[in-house]
Amino acid sequence: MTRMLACIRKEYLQFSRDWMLLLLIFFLYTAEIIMCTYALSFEVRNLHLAVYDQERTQLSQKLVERFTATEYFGKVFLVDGPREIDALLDAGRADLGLVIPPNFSDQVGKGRAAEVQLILSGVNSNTANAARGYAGAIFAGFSHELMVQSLQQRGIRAKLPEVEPRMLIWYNPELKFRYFMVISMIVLAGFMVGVINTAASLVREKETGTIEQLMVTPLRRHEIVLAKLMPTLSIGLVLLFPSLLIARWFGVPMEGSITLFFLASAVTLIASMGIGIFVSTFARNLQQALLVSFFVLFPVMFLSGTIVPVESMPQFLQYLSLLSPVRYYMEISLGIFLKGVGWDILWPKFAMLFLFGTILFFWSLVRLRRRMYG
Amino acid sequence: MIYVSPVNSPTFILGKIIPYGAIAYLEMLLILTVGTLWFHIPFQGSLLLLLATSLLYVLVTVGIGVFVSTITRTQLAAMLLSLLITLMPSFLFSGFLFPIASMPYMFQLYTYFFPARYFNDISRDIFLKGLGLEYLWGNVALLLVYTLILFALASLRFKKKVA
Repeated sequence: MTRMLACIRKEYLQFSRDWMLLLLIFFLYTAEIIMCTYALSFEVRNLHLAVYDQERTQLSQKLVERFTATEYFGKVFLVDGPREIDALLDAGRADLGLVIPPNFSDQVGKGRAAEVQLILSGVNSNTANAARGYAGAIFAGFSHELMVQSLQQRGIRAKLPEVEPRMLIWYNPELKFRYFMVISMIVLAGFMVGVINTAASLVREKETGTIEQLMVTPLRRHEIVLAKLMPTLSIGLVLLFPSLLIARWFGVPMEGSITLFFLASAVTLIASMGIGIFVSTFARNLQQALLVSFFVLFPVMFLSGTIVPVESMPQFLQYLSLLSPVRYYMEISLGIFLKGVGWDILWPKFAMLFLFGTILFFWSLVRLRRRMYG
Repeated sequence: MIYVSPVNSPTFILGKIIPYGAIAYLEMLLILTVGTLWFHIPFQGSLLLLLATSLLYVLVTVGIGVFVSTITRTQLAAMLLSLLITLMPSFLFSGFLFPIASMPYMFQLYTYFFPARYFNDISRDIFLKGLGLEYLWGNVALLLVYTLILFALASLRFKKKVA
């Protein structure tokens, strides 16, 4: 036991000496989370609209104002020809173009369908989809208003039937993307540190040749490896505290049990360290370790539902994502933070996480024994 | 050992860059082939222009790698630093996943630090819109300036180490 403790002490010492590394890990758990949460969202706002208004009447002005009155549309370019719309769309200065024909009010006055043209830049399909949705709602609202007006002009004061949805949004009533973002950044930080740091610390020993020196000590092999994992595990758990403070600062509710969250974090860290060990068995030097890590990190990250929703993936990839421990960790974290659900609901996810975590971990250990110490 | 050899620092850095640049460029070509043949992404613009601009982009990315290696002491730190200042932001702040227009203004300016932002624009413009240099010159010029600054900085830092 004492020799194990000495070995662990050596690992902590070695870890704490690389202050640049510590700083970077700290950055990943704090500044990176703040920046990403503050800046990034899939919400589409500040769209630029190019308007070619061939009529320039009160009515056409009113339609344009409908767009500018919302928070979704920022700049409006008033142009004098269709070519200018093309140029603005090409240059990426406008996201959508609106062409109002010269007979717009005329058609509306006659009670006909007045056609306006909307040109969307589909370069980013997500942005275009959102813009289409906003524009559709604006046109519908505008048409509705015109309809009521025209009925009133004809002296019909009857109320129009309407369906009015009363929406209730659970778990995140203001639909803040930030909540999701903070949680997914915390989840990813732990995962990345777990994989990269483990892989690197194992490969470093191999590269410098000090592994042989460790091998001739009376230390058991598993003791060497377990000692190596201790600093990563502890920093991964300790740095969750500043991250939780940041989450609080962004107003993310913490409905569930913190203990449960730490338990999930610890299991995920162990699973990611398993991946790290696995990576280290492929790499002979740090450079290889880094590249193999990226090779593993990105698929696991993208299949985890932290960035891209799992539901929108092809069926095959959805099944594949069931193998990603980060997916379970993300679902558990969302459940604990936002829904406040407990063990009774989360246990199947915990079971899967635990299962994959242990399989990954021990499988990698076995692989490591064969490859490294042969 | 490299410090005592008669090779001067720009030559040395260039020598480091060329093989990695070549690999990165090959990967780019592979992705281009897969994108058009498998995913049937329409290719509207000039292939030559795309090839030229991606060469420039590859140079920038390799240049960043060299520059990072001149600031950090240990290789592990260099690895994490390159993850943090290049890979993550290139994903998150380049307009690749998240629309730049929705970011707060300060962060819109911040995106200009990452060459991926320029190339993201350039490649989408060439691929989907079929635009030519007359529209793209702004982004291309920025990439070029970026490359030159990086190489100047990397050579300079490398010289300092020698002294």
